[in-house]
Amino acid sequence: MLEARGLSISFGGLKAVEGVDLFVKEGEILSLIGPNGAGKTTLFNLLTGFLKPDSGEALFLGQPITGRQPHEIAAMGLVRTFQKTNIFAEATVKDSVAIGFHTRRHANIGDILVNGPTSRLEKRFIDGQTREILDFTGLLPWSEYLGKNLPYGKQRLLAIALALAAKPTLLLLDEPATGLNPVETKELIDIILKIRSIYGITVLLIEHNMKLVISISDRIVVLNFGQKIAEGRPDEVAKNPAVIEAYLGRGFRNAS
Amino acid sequence: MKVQARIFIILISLVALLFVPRLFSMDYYMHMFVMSEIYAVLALSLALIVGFSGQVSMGHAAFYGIGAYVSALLSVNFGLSFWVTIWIAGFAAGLVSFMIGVLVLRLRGHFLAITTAFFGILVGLVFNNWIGVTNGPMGVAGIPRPAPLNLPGFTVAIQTRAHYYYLGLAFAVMVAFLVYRLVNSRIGNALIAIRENEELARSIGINAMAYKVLAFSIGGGLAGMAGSFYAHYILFISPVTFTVAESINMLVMIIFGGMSTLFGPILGAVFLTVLPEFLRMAGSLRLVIYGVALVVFIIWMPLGVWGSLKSFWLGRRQASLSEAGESQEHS
Repeated sequence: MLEARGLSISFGGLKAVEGVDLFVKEGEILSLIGPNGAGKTTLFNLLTGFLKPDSGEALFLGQPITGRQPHEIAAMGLVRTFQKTNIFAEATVKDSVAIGFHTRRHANIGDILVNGPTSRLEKRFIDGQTREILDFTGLLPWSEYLGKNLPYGKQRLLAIALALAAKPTLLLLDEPATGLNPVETKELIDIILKIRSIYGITVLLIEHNMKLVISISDRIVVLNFGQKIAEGRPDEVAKNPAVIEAYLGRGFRNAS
Repeated sequence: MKVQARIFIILISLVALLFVPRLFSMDYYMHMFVMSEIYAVLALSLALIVGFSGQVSMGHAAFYGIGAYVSALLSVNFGLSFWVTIWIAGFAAGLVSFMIGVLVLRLRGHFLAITTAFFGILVGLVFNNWIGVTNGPMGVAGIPRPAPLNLPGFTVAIQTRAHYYYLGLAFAVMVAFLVYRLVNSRIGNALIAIRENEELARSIGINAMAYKVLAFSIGGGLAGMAGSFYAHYILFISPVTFTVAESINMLVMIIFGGMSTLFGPILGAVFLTVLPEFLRMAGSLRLVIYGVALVVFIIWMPLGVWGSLKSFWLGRRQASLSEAGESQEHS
């Protein structure tokens, strides 16, 4: 589904991402892990057009996406969330999610001016779909709230709801569990699993919460200093000496 | 029910506005009202750019001026009718704002504000110095009034201020309707998304640059049409009307009224056109009172008069919602 070959980018002298290959299979949940500064978010930015790679290329559904604009890539069905909480602070939850339907609205200017059939049909469609997504993410009781007035955990969910409205076929989640309490994390795991089972969306996620990663990933890719150091099933990766070294240092392995 | 009530209020207000010329027959008042209509169009067009898409422009008077000059010069030199030149003026100003928009809208915040202000100064310099075409500081005189309007059954000559008042009212209502439909469409949704969070907007498939340019072009085009109306109303134009100070005046109007609303810019335009005239009673203190009033309003009503009223109402709704929401959460 997604195929990246030799993606590299450096900022000044720092090689943030260096020759990374990444394959995402349709229907899987793939986690991208690695210590802070390993280049995970940079890789997301490269895949979604927010950064242009110095070299390497990426294909999504067989189409080249390197060098395309973020909005073009999103319209193709590759949608991402952000590590920091990124929401429309001054819009209500309902309106925010409705904005997410942008790529599926096509009313032309004439239709807009007379509030014609396409516009009215779009509105009905979006109202229904928004409700469904809010129900799915458990945000329905909060639909009239302004984004900024939501509790933190709900804001994180709102960002996911917004991404779902954009109708991804591959969803990139950047540290969705950051700052969530254990109960909220369990809810999130449930939602991610349902995103795949109900909507049929493939998920690529960056996460530091190992319990979450191990429990939902089909495969894990490990980055360190911009390079891919391991890839495989969760149990394989957990035992991989290179991974243990990256996380805990060389001394730990010698001591054990 | 709520929507019907709103439509009812709007219709009543429009009917009331039709009677204004009967109540205020003095030329002086009527002139103020016609100018209010022109400023209402300018404020609405600027609100589309600043209020809805969040791009601060300090060069709006330039598009107003381009429209005025294009329309005036075409009428004076080529004898074209106002009914034709207003469209050409709108198109020309829209085209210039499109080209400027493509160049400057990659800038943000202060950088964009400063750059658009310089564009405004540049256009002013062209009006002043391209004497062969614009007649420089002497301005363009002898602009013809709009040709008599042939309505089915009868003909109306545009002669008195009351005629201009009705024409301006029709113009302002049409522009308000256009902006209303735009901001409530997918285009308006995209603009608001860009204003709130451009990065997030792009991540869900919104072509931020294209929509910013679109808003800038439509706003500039409408300002150009307002310029055309102004030229054929005053019948004389000169560079002093289209300065950066005038751009700031328009910004103050939308800040005062509430720039992310539809009624706010209209309220700001009318109020800030009429208020300075009424303050003439205060003599030399006029500008002091005007300045203090603006500062007070901006400090206590940062969302503008209409915006603050709206948010007060919404805030009360939010407060009652938060009780409801929490009880639902815990149940």
